[in-house]
Amino acid sequence: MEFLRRLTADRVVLVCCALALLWILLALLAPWIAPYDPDAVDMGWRLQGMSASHWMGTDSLGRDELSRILYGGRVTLSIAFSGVGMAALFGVLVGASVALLGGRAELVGTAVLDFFLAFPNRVFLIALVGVFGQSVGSVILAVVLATWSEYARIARTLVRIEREKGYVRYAPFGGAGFFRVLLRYILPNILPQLLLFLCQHISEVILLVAGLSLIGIGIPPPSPEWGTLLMGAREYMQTAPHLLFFPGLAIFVTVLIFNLLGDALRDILDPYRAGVKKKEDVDAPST
Amino acid sequence: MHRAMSALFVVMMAALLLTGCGGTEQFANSRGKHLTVGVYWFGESMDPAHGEDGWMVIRTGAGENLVAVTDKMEFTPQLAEKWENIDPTMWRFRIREGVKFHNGDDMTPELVKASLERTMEKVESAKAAADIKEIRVEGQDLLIKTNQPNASLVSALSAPEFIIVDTKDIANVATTPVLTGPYRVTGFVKGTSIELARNEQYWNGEPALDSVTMKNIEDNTKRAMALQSGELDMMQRVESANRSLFENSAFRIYQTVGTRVFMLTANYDGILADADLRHALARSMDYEALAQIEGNGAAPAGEVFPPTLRYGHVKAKREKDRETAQKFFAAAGYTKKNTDGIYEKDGRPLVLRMAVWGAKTAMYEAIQAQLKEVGVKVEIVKVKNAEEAREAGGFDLLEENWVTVPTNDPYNFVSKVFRTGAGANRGHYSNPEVDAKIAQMQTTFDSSVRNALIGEIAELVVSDDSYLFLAFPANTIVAKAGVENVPVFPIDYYVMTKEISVE
Repeated sequence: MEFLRRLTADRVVLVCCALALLWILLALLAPWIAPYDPDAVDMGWRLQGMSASHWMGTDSLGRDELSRILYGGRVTLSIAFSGVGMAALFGVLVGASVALLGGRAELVGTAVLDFFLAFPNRVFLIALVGVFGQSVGSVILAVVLATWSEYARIARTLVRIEREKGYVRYAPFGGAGFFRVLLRYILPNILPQLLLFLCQHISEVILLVAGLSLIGIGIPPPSPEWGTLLMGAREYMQTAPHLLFFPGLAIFVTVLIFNLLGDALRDILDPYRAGVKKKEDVDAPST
Repeated sequence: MHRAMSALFVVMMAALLLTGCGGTEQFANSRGKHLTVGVYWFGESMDPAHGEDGWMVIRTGAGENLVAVTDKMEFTPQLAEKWENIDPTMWRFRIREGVKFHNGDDMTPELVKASLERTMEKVESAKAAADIKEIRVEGQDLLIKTNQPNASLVSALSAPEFIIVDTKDIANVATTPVLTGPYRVTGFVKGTSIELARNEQYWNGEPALDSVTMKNIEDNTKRAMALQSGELDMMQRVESANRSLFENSAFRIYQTVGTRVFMLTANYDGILADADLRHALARSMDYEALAQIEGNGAAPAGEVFPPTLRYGHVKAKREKDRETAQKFFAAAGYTKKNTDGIYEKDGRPLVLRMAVWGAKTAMYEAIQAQLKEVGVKVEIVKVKNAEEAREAGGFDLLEENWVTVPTNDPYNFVSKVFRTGAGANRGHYSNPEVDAKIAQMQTTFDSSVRNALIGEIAELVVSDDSYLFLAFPANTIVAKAGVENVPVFPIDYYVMTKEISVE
């Protein structure tokens, strides 16, 4: 595929992908690479600074900060990925179906979408977590409910463009049913744009979840979710700043990696990018 | 030429420096001896008889009661010169002569009576605690008759709600109440600041400062930073996280173990109705470690009353004893079958819901970690406050933080918390023996008998393990090195006194 070819040809994208993979691997392999049990309390080693035995120091209960951040990555990233993944799946299906059906279904669907889009998603998220209670599951569910409409909106817009193209208009004559058209014909064509949005959205969700924990309604302690770590360390801003620095750094690096990845993807998807395609090719009618 | 320029420069700098000095001196002179104090809570108004606002009124040094409590936890005469109990329901208070209100009015026994009656009319809990039937003026004395024999009357009258206020000059009581203390309120901005000036007519000597500003900074870290930056001269309460910032020659930390107890209430409507399980939990806690996490000179608990009190102590405090704990877990029918190390019974793991409402995150995690070590899984559930824990899905353990002797009398606390069916008995604890002794306390005037009763109640409650008494937090005050005569009281509504001074 053209998209994949361009993807692998671009160094920046490859580097960003490698970094993202490495970051995810670090979190996945936490039980094997973390030097200590992240929950092991050791009162004799409270609030130690950085040292050879504790690279990122220890927290107010003597727990190893590095181990907690590695394990915390599992929580933070799994919430971000599953939240974004499910929101995207649901949102794209709804948005694309609505656009493909057209007519009255589109009218009603769009109204429902506009209803959800009207909520400011941060406020909506806080309210949802308040209703569902504090746990990983409920935070994921809240993320899905608060953000799926964004995907639906984008999918609807993209499909509305695709559905007018010949390959979609004439597909039913070849015997393709509704779902076949949707999944096999249209989806592969709008996937690159969706992927781009997905990458940018992951950073946003990580910040949202950390923000929830920071105001005390996200993932409850002792889970080492990064936002929870930050919240627990607020009081130590002056006396043990490493407790704020490292979780903050972890969040920063993650958001940076996915933002760069998103930017790089946008660059290679940009049809006007020099050396990729000529403007006439892009503007040429597809029918 | 070059040297001349340098000399000129030096002279100019020196002049600037001197002007600078002069400026600050002038500033100091214009305000006189001024102190800015940071506190962690403000009331909604300055009316002593509005909710709990009286706590802050006492902290400012503006309000006084008939009776006060010393830093040694003893009653001391304040606006009453002396008092006596004539018969079980009759008391005589001699009102101090020569006391003037902030507006210059004389504090007459009639005005004291009116003030007490105003409080009883406005504050239901104060009325119940005092249980006064009628007050009569007899010369310089007040004769107070109670409905029932009430051994806690003196204590009740020392509560902030019963601050004596001039009822003839009551129009601005919410902002600038007319009181008798060493400092008078000159301005109140809700939630922000209180301005005070010296009471020139103070009955008990001259207050050391010309003026005081009290600022409300609720966030512990922000308050500490304000003291560091010089915005404050003194502040109430430093968190153990920030304590090391002030352990140097520029500051002094004053501390004493307070009257509070940090505890977990066991819910008798759940699995903790099982006494053996409660006994096991009480012996599983590492009280020393929890006190260390609370920090700041907090003392490990294991019993009801803090070491500040002379009475109410049990023979053997609960201590960490995990061997005995194991036996109690076994007696309660719990075994460890799985590899995850969590006790189970009838195939179900031992999971306790711990409802918390405060901000002691490290403390909650430590409790969770300690119980995990012995084989109990604890789920932390955040609730808005202790009152709503029951509605919010219930709890097995509930965070509570009580002042054990709010007015130097534990009666109020034990009757509100330990008595069967009492309003704040949130775990539905019930022990008829405890109830009987609490009832007996109410009518016992002899302090040694009373103290013995308190000890017996404490002994029963601890042996029931109906609560896990974890730590006794300390009261702390941090001041710049130049602030002198700073007292620190176990009762944390005393802060400003007439002695506090600046160099």
